[in-house]
Amino acid sequence: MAADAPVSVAPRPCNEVPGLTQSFTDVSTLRAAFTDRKEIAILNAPLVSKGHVYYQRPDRLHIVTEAPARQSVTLSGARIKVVQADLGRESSMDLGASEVARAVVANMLLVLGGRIDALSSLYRCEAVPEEDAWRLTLVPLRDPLAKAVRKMDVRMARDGTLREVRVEELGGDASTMTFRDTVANRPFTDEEAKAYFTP
Amino acid sequence: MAWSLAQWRSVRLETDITRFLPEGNQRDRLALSGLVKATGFSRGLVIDIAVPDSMPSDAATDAAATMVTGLASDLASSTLFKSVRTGPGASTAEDFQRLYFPRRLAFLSDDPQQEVPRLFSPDGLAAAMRRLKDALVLPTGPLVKSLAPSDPLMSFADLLQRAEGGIAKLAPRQLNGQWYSADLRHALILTETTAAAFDTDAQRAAMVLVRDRFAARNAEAGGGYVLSFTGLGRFVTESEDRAKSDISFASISSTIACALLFLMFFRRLRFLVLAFLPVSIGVAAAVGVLAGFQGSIHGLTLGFGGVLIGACIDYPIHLLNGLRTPPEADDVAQKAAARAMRRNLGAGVVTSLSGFLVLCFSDYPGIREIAVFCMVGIAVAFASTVLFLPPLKPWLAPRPGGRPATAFHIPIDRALAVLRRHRAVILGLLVVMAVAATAMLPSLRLEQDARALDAGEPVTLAEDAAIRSHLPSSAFPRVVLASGSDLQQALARSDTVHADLAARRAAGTGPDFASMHALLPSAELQQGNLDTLAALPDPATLIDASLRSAGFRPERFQPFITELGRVRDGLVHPLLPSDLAGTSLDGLLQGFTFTHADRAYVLTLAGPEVTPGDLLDLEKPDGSVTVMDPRALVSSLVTSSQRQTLALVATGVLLNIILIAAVRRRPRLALATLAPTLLTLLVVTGGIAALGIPLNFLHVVSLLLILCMGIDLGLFLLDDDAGTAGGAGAAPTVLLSALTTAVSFGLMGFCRTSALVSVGVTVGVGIAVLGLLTFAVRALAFGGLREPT
Repeated sequence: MAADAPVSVAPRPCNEVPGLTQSFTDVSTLRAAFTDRKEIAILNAPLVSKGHVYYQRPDRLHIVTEAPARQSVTLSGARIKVVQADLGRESSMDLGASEVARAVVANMLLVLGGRIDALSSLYRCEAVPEEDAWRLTLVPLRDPLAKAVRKMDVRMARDGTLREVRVEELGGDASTMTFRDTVANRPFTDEEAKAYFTP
Repeated sequence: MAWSLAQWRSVRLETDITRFLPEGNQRDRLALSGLVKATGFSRGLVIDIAVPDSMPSDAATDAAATMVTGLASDLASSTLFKSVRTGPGASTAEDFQRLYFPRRLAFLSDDPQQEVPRLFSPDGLAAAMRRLKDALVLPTGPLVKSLAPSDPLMSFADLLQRAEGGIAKLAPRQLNGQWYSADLRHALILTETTAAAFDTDAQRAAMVLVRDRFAARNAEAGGGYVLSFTGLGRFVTESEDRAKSDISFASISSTIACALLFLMFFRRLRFLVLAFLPVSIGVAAAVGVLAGFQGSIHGLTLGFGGVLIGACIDYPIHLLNGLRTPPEADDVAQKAAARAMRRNLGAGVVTSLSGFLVLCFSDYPGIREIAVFCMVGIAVAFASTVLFLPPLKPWLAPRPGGRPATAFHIPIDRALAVLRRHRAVILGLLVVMAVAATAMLPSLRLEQDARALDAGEPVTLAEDAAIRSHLPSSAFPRVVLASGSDLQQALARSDTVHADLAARRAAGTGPDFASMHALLPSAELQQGNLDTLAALPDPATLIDASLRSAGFRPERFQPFITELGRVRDGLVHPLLPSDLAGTSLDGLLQGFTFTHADRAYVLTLAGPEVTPGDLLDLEKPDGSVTVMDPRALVSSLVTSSQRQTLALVATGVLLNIILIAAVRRRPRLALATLAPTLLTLLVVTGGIAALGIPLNFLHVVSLLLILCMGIDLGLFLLDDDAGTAGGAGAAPTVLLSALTTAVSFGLMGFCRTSALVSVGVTVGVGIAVLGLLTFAVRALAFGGLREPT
C-alpha cells in the first residue's frame, strides 16, 4: 500500500473529509466523454447511450448523445432545448413543469459544478476515500428527490475530475453515467460558448 | 367671463401625448395597443436590480435572490401594488399539470382530422416509440419516464413544448424560481400597480416606495446593488412633471420678458398694466372655455398659452402707441389715422384668427385644442383692448401741443435711412436668401419618429432601453390581434393566425412569435381532437404491438389504454378560459386577452418581419385580424397626417393672401405686406433643411403661426395712411411687437418638452427673421423716413 493511501475505508460525513470540498469547488468548466446505462422497468433491456458533456458554472450544460441516436441537449437555467437530429425534431421546454426533472437537472449541475456546499444541504453526504478517488454517497433529505431517488453514488478523482455518477431510484430503476477524458477548468472560447450554450 | 373663471375650479391637466396624434382608424388601433398588457410595461413597473460587479456569479444570484425576495415582500405588503412577481410562481407547474395533463389528448394536433389517424397508424406509433426511447436517455428522462405509462406518445411533453414555444418564451431567464437577465447579472421583478398608469399621484407614490424600500434593502445587503425601473406610469408621471415645469417656465419667463421690453419702450407702469390686462383676460377666458367644454387642458396647450401673451400684447401695443401719439393736425387726418388703426388692428386679428381657424380642421385633437385656445384668447384679448383702451385716451394722450411720454430711443428712422441707401445690396441679399433657402428644400427630411414630440428624460430612456434588453418580450415588437364577438370566436381566429405564422416560420419566411394558441386553442379545435380520437377503431391492439416491437413492456402502459377509453366515452372535455380562473395561469390569459367595445381580443406577439410589412397580409378586411407595431404605429400616425397638415398650412397661407389683398386693395401694397412673411416661411423651412433637422408636423404648424402672428408687423409698418402712429411712425412699436413675440416663443426653446421646443424655436426665429425682413421691405418699397402718400 502506498504511503499516502487512506488509512480507513469507513464512510465519513463529507464536510469532515479534508481536501474534499476544495477538490469540488474548483470546477468552473468541464468537458468529458460519457457512457450512460439506464435500467428502466418499462423496458425489457438496459438502454445505453454515449456522447460528450460540456458544463459551465453555474447553470450552463450541453450534452451531445452520439448513440444510439444523435441528440443534443442545451440547458440554460430552467430552460432546456433538445435537438433530435435523427428524428429531425427540435424542441425546448421549461423544466419548471416537472419538479422531479427540475430537481434531477439541478442536482446534476451541482455535481458537475462541485457545489458540495449545496449538495450537503440537500443530501446526507458521506465520503469514502479510494486509492486515487473519492466515492460519495448522497441520500436525498427532502422532497421531491426523496420521493424518487434512493441514493446517488459519485466517484471523483483526487484532482477533481468526475468519473462516475450512479443514481438509484426508489422504484428500482437506475442509471450509471461514466465519464472519461475529463478536462476541468479550461475556459470555453467565445465560439465554443456560443456553440454549446446558446439556448 | 364669469362663467369662464368659474370653470377654473374643475380644470384638469392632461399629459397624454397621444392627443397630439391624428384621429381615425390608426388612432383606434393605438387605443387597442394600449390595452395590450402582455409585455408588462403598460400595467405596472418592471424593476431591475443589478448585482454588484465585484460579486461572482454563484454568489451574485444567491444574494440577489435574497435581496429581491425582501424587496418584493415589502412592495406586495403595500396597497399600491396589485401584484408583485419575482418568478413564475411555485404553483405554476402544479396548475399546468393539473389542468393540462388530463386534457393532453385534446391538444394532439392543430389538424386533427388529418394528423390523429396518421399518429395512430402502425408507422406513426413505431415512430412515437422510437422517440420515447430516445427521450429516456435525455436529462429530462425522469419526467418522460414517470409519465410514459399514461403518455407513451409524449403528448404532455409536446404540450410543454407548445407552452415553451408559445407564451413561455416571453418569460425572462429563471434560476431557482427567480427571474434574471440572460447574463444573470440583473434580477427582475414584474409588478402591477393598483392604480392606472395615468393616475400620476398613485404612480408617484409607488415609485417613491420602490426607491425607499430598495434603499433600505440595499443598505441591509451591504450596498452595491443598482436599482432601475420602467413602465408607462413612470413616463406619464415624468411627462406631467415636465409639462408643469414647462408651463410655469413659459408663462413666467414670457411675462417677465414682455413686461421688461414693454417698460423699456413705454417707460410707464400704467401702460404696462393697461397692456397686460386685455392679455390676461384673454388667457383666462381661453382656459375657462376649454375647461368648461372638455374638463381638461393639455400641458402643451397651457405651454402655448403661456407664450400667447407675446402675440396678444401686440394689440395693446399698437393701440396704446396710437393713443399716446399727438393728434393729427386736422380732423381729416385724425379720422384717416383712426380708420387706418382700426383697419390694421382688425386685419391683424382676422389674419391671426384665420390661421388658427384653419388649424381647427386638423386631424390632431391636440392641435385643435391649441387652435381653440388661441382663438378664444386672441379674440377676447382683442375685444378687451378695443373696448377698454380707447375711452382712456384722454388719460394717455399728451395735452394738445405737447409731446408723448418719453419712450426708449430707438434710432429706427436712421437705420431705415441707411437701409434705403443700400437698396441694391438689400435686394441682392433678399434674392440670395430666397435662392439659398429654395436650394435647401430638396434636402428636407420628414420626422418619422413620434418620440421626437415628447422625448423622455435621458436617464429614464436609458433605463427603459436597458431593462427592455433584459426581457425576451423586446424581441416581439409586432402585435397581431384576433377579435370576435366572444372569446371563443376570437380564440378560433387566433388559431388561424397561429397556423399561418407557424407555416411562415417553418418556411423561413416568417418571424418568431408567441401565441395564446399554445396554451388555449379554441374549444372547437380541442373537441375536434377528442372526436377524431374517439372515432378510431380499436387503437389498443396497435399500441400494444408497437410497444412490444420497440422493446417496451406493454403491460406497464395500461393507464394510457384506460385514458383512450375515457376519451371514447366522452369523459374528457376541452379546456375553457373559465378553467384558468383563479389559477397561476390566469395572469397569462389576462395578459393575452382583453375586451374592448363589446368585442373580445386575443393577441399574438411577433418578432420583426423577415420582409418588412409582410405580416400585414394577415389582416382581414372585416377587422377580425389586425397587425400592429405599437411603437411604429405612433410614428406612422404622425407621418400619416403630415400631408393634411401641409394642406392646412397652404390653406392658411392662401386665406391670408386673400385677406391682405382685400385689406390693402392696391397690389403693390399687398405684395409688400405679404413679401416679408412669405420669404420668412421659405427661409425658415430652408434653414430647418440646412441644419438637418427632420421636419415634424409641429414645425409645419409653426410656419402657420409665423404667418398669422407676424403679418401684423407688415400691416402697421407698411401703411403710411395710419397717420403718425402708422408707417415709419409705427416702427418702434412694430419692433417692440416683433421682439415680444419672438422672445416669448424663443424662450419656449428652453423648455424640456421637445414639442414646445420645436414650436418655440421655429416661431421665435421666424418672427425675428420676419421683423428684419419687414424693415428691409419697408426700406426697399417705402424709403426710410415717413413719407405720407
